[in-house]
Amino acid sequence: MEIRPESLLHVARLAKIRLNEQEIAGFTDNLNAALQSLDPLLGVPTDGVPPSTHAPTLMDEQADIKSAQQDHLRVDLVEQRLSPEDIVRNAPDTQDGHFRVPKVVED
Amino acid sequence: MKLNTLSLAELKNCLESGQGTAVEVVNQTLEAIHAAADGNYFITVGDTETLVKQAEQIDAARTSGSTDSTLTGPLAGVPIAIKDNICVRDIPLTAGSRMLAKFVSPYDATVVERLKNAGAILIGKTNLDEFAMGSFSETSFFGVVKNPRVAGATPGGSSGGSAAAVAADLCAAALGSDTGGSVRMPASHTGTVGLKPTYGRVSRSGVIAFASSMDQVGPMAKTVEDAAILLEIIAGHDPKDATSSTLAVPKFRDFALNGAKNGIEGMKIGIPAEYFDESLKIDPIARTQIELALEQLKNAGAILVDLSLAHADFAAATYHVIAAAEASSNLARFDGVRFGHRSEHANNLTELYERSRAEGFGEEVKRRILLGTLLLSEGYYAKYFQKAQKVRTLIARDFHQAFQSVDIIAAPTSPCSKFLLNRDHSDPSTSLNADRVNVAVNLAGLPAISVPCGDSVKDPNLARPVGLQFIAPAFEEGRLFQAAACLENLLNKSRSKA
Repeated sequence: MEIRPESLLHVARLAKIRLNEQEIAGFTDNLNAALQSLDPLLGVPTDGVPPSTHAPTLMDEQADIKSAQQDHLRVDLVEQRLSPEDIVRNAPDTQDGHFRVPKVVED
Repeated sequence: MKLNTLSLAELKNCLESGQGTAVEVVNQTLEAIHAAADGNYFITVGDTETLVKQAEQIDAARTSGSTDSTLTGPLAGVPIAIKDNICVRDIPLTAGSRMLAKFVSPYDATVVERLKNAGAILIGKTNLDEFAMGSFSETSFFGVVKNPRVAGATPGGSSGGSAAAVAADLCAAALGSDTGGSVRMPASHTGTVGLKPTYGRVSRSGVIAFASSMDQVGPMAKTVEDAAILLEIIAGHDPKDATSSTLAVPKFRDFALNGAKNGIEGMKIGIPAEYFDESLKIDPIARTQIELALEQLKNAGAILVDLSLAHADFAAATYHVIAAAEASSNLARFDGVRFGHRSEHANNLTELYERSRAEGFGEEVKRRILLGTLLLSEGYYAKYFQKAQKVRTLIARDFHQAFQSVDIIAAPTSPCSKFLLNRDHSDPSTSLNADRVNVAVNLAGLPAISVPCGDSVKDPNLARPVGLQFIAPAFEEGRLFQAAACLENLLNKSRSKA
């Protein structure tokens, strides 16, 4: 499946990154090269192999350390980690302790 | 005495016995940092007045019998450098990106909280590849990091600033992060020790997420014992990270001391054919030094066992799919609204997102976000992403099987003994070969350590930092410290004989 500039632009819109002409050309080539480098992966036999989402799921296959991976969720208690001031302190624009963005609703 | 040149363990002894003061440590370390500014190792250096004041309190607490652990803990007065993708409250955090050039951390990462509780002096935030995406410390918005040990070369990446700061005596030790070799690679290229812990051993809370299923914070140090001391402090369950393990943290330092004292007689070390293969183009200097180091271990009673990791050659592709996919999702939070760079040229909300991200991210980060977005999109998800998740299972099974017959596995940390700054950047094979020996460990969630073995070549023209990597089963970092400390001790002995 070769990526063309139009499909790259679609991906860029999904990723919310505006690209200039030069970037479109460069990233199109780059992503095609990247996909090509992934080709060998497609040939690996994986029938009946379960997917792993992260390392602890891999470890679950290994019973000896399974016990280490249980019961991670903390008790659901209300606690204050950040003050409202800390939450907005890095915001580019705020008003009355809220994040401020350009007008979303048209007149 | 230059206190900044001491190892962490030596410095602890020196401070605890009253031979030096924390104020001296801070002054000498900051002086050394400012003298080495050309290396571009740090993005933010601690404020002199604040750090000296902290050091004065530590010195005073030592004589007053205070019980405040932030002043008398095991790292009281010890300067630690922090990779600049880890939050330190009220200190700027950039992640090497224009996106976060003006960001100030509103809280401490759990690892930082633990260092502060142990009395550490956080000396500065170190330079890195943008969002830790790179193997050479060349993609930072704040410029390329230089290698203090090899002229004209990079220190490797992405924790290049932390590795360089340790190697150049600008801290007693440092923290890095390792998603696909980012602690081990720069450790190898600077002659320092770097450990990537088991996934879940160390909390990720407060660390800028790159690929959440693989990210781990690890210690970078001058000696194996130092790395063990640091890991003992930062490791352990954290309610703020549901993937952090509830397993007890062993006394890692004892493993290191035991390895140095009693060696590793009878330990079985697996040598995977795939990690020493010709196609990796391991350069002759790296190969010679690694083989000599393995020879020394064998002479000390270790049993070298040839083995195969059948899916090792697919690890890099698997990693590239999973890391890019997770990165594209994690970096969606940088939208120009709540924190980070905001474009001044946006007329509506969509433009605000698109232009802020276009202006804030560098090329490599954009490339990975685009690739990840593509791989998670319709038509690609099943073909690439789900496939990679299945191959990931096979890679982990290979290790599990190998560890039925060996205690640890050895591998080169980096196929090159140096990365020149002016090399051919269009050739992807350098980076790819480095990934081939590093990323499988992250996919499988295993711990691995890079330990310097570069002094076995006597010719000064050829002697360069080279790392040998040991890999252990999950939560068996103790074995790594034991083997690495044994090797370090053997090399120290042969060096003092020469």
